[in-house]
Amino acid sequence: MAKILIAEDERDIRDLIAFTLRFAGHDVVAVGDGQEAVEVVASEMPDLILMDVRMPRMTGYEACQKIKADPKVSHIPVVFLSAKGQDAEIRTGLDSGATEYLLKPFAPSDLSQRVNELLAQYGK
Amino acid sequence: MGDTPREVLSDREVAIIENGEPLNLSNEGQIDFPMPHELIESLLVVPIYYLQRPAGLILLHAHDTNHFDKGAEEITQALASQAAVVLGNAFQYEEQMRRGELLKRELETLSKLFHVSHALRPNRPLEESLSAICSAIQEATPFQTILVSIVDPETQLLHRVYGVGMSDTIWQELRSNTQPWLSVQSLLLPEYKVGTAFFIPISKNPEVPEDVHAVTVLYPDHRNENDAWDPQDMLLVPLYDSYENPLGLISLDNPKDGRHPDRATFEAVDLFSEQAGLIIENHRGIRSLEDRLGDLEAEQSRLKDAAKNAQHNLPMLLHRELEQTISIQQIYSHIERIRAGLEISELASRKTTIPEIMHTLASEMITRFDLQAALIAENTILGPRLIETLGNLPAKSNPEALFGQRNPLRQLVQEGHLILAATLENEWSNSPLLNVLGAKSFIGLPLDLGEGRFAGVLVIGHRPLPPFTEQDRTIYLHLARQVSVGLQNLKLLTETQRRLHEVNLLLEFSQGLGVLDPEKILKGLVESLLKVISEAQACWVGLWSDKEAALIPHVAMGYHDNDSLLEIAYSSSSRTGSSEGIFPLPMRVYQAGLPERVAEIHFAQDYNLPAEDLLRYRRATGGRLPVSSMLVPLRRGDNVLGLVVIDNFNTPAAFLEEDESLTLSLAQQTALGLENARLFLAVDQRASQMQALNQVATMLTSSLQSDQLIDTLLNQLKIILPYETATLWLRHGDQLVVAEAAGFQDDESRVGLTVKMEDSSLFQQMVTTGQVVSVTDVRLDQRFPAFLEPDNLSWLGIPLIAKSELIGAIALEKHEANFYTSEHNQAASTFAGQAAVSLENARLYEESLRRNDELDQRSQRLALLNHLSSELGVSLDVDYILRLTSQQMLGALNGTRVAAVLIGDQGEYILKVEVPSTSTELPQILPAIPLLERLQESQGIFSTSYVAKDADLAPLRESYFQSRRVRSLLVIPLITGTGVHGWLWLQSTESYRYSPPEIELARTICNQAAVAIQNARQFAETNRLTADLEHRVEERTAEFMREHRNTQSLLQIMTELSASLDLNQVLIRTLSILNESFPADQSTIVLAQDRETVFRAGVSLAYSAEINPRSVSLPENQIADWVIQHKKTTLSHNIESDDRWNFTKELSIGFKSFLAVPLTLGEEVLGALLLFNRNASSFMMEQVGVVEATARQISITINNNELFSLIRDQSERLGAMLRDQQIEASRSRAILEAVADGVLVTDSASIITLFNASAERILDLKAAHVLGKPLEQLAGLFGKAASTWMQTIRKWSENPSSYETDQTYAVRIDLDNGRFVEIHLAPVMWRSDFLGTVSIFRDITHEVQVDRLKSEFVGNVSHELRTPMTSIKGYVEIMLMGAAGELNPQQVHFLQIVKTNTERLSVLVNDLLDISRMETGRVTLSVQPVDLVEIYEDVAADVQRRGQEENKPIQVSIEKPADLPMVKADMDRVRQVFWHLISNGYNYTPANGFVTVRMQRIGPDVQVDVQDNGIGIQQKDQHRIFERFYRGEDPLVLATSGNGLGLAIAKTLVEMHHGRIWFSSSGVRGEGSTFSFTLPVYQVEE
Repeated sequence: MAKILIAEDERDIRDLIAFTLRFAGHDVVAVGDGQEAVEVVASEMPDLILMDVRMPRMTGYEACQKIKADPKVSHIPVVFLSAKGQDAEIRTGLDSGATEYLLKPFAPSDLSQRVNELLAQYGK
Repeated sequence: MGDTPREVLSDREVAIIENGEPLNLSNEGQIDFPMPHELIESLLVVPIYYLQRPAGLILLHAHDTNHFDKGAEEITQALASQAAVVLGNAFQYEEQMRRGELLKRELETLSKLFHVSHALRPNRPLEESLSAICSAIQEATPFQTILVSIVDPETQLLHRVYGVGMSDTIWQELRSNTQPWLSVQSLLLPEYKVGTAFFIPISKNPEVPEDVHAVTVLYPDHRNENDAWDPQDMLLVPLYDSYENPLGLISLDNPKDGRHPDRATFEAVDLFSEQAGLIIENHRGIRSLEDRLGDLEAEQSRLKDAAKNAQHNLPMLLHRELEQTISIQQIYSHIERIRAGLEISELASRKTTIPEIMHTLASEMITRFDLQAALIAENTILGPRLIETLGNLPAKSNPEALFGQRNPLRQLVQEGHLILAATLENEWSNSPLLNVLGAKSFIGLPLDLGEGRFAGVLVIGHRPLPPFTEQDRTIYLHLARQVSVGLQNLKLLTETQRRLHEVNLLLEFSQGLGVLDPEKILKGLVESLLKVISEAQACWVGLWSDKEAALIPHVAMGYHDNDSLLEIAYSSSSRTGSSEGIFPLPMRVYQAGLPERVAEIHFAQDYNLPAEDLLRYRRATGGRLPVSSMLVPLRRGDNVLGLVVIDNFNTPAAFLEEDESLTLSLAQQTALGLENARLFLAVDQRASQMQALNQVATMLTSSLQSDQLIDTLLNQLKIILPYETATLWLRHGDQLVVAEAAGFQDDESRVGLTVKMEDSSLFQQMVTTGQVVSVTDVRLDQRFPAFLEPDNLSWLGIPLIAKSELIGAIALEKHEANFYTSEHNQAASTFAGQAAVSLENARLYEESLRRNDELDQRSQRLALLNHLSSELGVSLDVDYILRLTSQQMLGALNGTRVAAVLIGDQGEYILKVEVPSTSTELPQILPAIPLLERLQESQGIFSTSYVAKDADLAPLRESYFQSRRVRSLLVIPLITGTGVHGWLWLQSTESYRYSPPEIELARTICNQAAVAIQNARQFAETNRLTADLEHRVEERTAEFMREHRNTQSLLQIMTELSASLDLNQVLIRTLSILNESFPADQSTIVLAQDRETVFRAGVSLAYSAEINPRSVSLPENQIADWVIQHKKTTLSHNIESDDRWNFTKELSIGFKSFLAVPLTLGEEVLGALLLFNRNASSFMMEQVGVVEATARQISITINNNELFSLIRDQSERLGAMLRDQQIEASRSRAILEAVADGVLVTDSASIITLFNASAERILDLKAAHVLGKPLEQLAGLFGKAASTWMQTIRKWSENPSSYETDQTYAVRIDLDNGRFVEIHLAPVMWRSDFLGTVSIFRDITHEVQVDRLKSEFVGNVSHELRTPMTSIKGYVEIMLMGAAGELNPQQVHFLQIVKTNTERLSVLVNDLLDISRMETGRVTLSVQPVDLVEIYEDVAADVQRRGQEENKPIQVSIEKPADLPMVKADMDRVRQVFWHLISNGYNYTPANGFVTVRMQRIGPDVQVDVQDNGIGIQQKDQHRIFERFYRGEDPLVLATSGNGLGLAIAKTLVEMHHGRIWFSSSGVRGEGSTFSFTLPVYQVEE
């Protein structure tokens, strides 16, 4: 069981991800945008961050860059979960420091499986 | 005032001060006074004096001339006196003040001193006392920095102990440095001394020793005055005690007033320094007392301690006594060991051999020292060798095998040092040898065998031993030394015995050398060597043979088959075997001449003999090979005679140095013996040879008859020089003739054979060197014919030389090769000398006899000839000469009549004279006589003693010879330089044969006559020639005049012809000149092409008026036609009698003669030139040349004229063309300027030549800034994007062929203003030349923006579609997972439907995105080698998984060849193609159908077929199925889910890979369809 931070502006989808991950037995902290994610990350110290790209106030790219620039939290793997699927967008995501870029729509079962794999990979 | 005074007075100013006279100057007399500034016109200088001493100057300057008058000068002088008084007052005041100051300071000093004296108490610390003194000095003197140093009485170094007036850092530095007193003392010279102090100003350059330490303290610089204190100045006060010993030093520095010290200062310093000296001395005294006291106290306390210690130390003393007891015991055991050692060494010394000694040592060590085992080894040339092991060794241990690895014994014999180990817990704990032997301790004794060689005994204990003491080491060392001495003694003894033996042997051997038979000597050597040298198993000895150039074995012993060994010759010429160029070992040693011991023979390398010799060697040794050898040369001085080889077949390095020296001395003895034997034989041989020579010489010199001498010569030679054949050649001029031959089958026929000397290089060599030529083997000599196999191989050429001339040669041949030796050669030379002299003598003798005879005859003849010659000289009459000659001949020679026959002009033979005359009338022409014809040709002499018999004389036989009864006839020719003139016939009525001298005489007479006749004839000829010459000169002069005239006219004509370009005028002028020069009445030029153009000059032709020149062929035209046609000059002396022309009456032109010449230019005839004259025969052949020359000039003129017109026409045409082109170019330029796209043109050097208005607009650059500039400069404005553009242009200009016609070069550049410009580039080529480039600029900003908007739109749409899909899909799946509560089957079914449709939607979105991206060209392929099978397997697995999920089994399979190549493609895109085609196959095929994928290589591509047996494609749909969203109307198709994009995507992707895609389908259900596509094969070299 791990703690996962979700940043997703679309409420339905945020709930869906939170539900899926909780169902898989994880502790979930959900926020609505990148700004909020950056604000809570240091206090929550999650094991993994799942983040949308297009969000109000601060995009996922920026949030990811900020997290990666902070030595206290830069070790936390960031995974983008986005509907933006063009090559350039994926490249930008990975360049901003993300570990993985997952595309929407996704199958919840696939998501929880992938999350478990990543956690295992990062030793959680 | 008004000026800045100078620092220093000038010389003039000083002069004024000195002489006291004022100076008044004005510019009129030019001021030569140093001026402080310009514009000074007047100057007044007045000195100031005070008490007769100069005190200053007043200088006045003015800007106008003569400013200062006498009055002004006086006023100034008065002022100067006033000033002097004031100055004096001021000086005095200052002096008073200074004095007051001094007095004040003196007072202060005294009070300070008083104060200090109080402060100085002996019981106060030194620093405190010094502090008081220093501050007193500070106050009493201006000096602020005071430093006190004290001398250390022991080291004589000055230590600084106290200082004031300086920073802490400086004080620390000063305190940490000491300086030797002596160095400081060296500074204190009397010249610096003031009182007790020494003032050393730096200005006096004192010599400061290097070790004097000084710190220059920087402080504010004071006035620049004479007595200013320099920071480097020193003021030192040395301090001495009452015995004048140095105590210390006070240094002063940094005076407040910045001046040198004054008197008061010195006085104060004297006082305080005395005080300081006292204090230091007192202090020192107190210190020494204190030290003494301290020492006494220490001594006292030490004694106290000792007493205290003694009470505590009793148990320790007891313990010490115990230790002593133990050490006594140790000494006992030590003595025991020494005794054992002595006994052992004595026992060992009694043994008589080295191994026994070492064995005894080892075994005694074991028993006496209670050890367990021992090993003995020695060091040999080949490394350490284990000799013996003894004692208790573990079973199965193999010390020999382990001895090679590092162990103490090995080290022992290598280094010769004692090694002891009480335990193995040291460097030897890892030695395998020791471990195997179970050693826990060991003693290693080195045994010195002498000459740096060691043996060793290692004795091993199985228990650790008590630690070895130094005494133990000494014992073992002594033991080892004792035994070593015994060993060396023993060795010396054996050595001495061996020497004795050797000496005996040598004596014996040298006695045996008395024999003179070399074979016996050699045999003796070999026998002795085998006997003496213990390791010698076989031995052979060989001698060098010059003849065979090889080392020949003579005696061999000890080999399996000695005779075979003797058959091997070690040659210096033949080198065979693999190691080319290396001689066999014996040959090598023989050549080096030095003995050699070979420790190990490498047979293949050392005996690289020819195959047959190898066989012999093997036979000789019985198959064994020598292991080690010793080879010693037989040497006599520098001469190496041969070689001894001693072999050993068992042991490496079997032979020792002493063996070598013994062999060497035997070899030397042998060499001496051999040399003696050889000398004896040589002397014997030489004596007999000399005897023979003597005999021969006597024989030869006793004969004076050449024939006799020649006959016996070769026989005599045989006595001295053996030969098979001999040939004697004698020299005749440059030839050699065989005079005698011997030993040949055909001796006689050889005599007379001739050879030219220059043809034989052997004779040439004899001539040039004068030496005997010896050829050892004619087969190896190129000078001998190679084509026949010679019987005799040796050849000796002996030159016979008399008076340095080669007079002949003798050639000898001998059957064997290398037969003639140097002795032979010498004998031959001696013989040749004798023979040559004898031959020459004989020849001279014969010659002198013959000469005598000759001289007699000659004198008579000379008289006759003289007479004849003087008589002949007076006459030039041929008949007289002939008669006289004939008479003389009759008188001189035997004959009855002489006739003279001369050859006439027609070659007939004329009998001119007969003496005595006959009745025949002379001259008489004789019939043709063949004999005379022949003689005329050969210039020979004919002689017959019987005329009647000679057929050649037949024509004369009856008519001449019979009537005169001639029987003998001698015909002598009269020959001069031009040939035979005739003959004199000397006839006789008797039969007589004329001897050669008679013929010679007759000939001389005839020659005299011939010369006289020729003289006569030449005289006549000369007369005739002179007359002829005169005539010819006259002719030539006339001719020359004519020519001159002609040339003149020609020149004139040529000048005319080149004078103008108006052809008509020029030609008419030319023709008139022609008329005058020749002369002609009329001249005409008719042109070949244009008959109407006729040029005429002179009298006009008299045509009848009625004649129409157009209808009738005029005579001039007829003549011209003829000339043009024949291309030939023609001349008619009279037209009327010339039948070539037949002019009618009315055409008669009134001219009688004409000259017509063609006008030719090269091969072309331009026309004709005609000259007419009224008179017949007016033109002569001589004139033709000039007229023809004129015609050529005219032709050239006409031609030039034509060329001129041609060029004019041409240039007009070119001008027109140029105009057209300019119009065309400006039109093109206008078009280029007008087009909407920007155009930029560069030339081949990349210089911009065109930049149109659109380009200006698009690039926002003015054409004026760009034109004429290099393109690179422009490209620089566009940054990196333009580099491709530039590179392409550069590539073309460097290599125009790199351009490929159908390629387009386009590059997009982004401008700074945010616009995008696309550049299309094309080269301008003319054939293969690169002329420049054209670049087209197109503003594509709008297109780029549209493109971007489109792409953004697609991205947004897909995002917006995916977001709701995420929710739908996610929640449905969660429900299906049962995470939201249990569902009934119907709910599950419905949710499944939602899920499936969501997936369709998701696929649709992805496909749409793909299509959109491909269309906008934003999909780029990342091409690499791709394995299609791998992709197939991925996709097939997916599809089959789907089949399982949907419960629709479809068989998916692949067919492909084993060697299917990789393709060049983008892996992900190809996977998409496979996915669409295979999933289509799956989708449109009912359950249990199949999808088969076939792959095969076809040409440069791989073709992939995807075949199914599904519903197929109906005919009516087939042409549209690749359209987007097209799915047709077939209900079966529509029943299957799909968006109609898959095939469109697949097609686009395949085509992006330059592949093709197609399909085939019958449209029948169940037959399915086949989709095929191709992809290019990956080529490795790409």
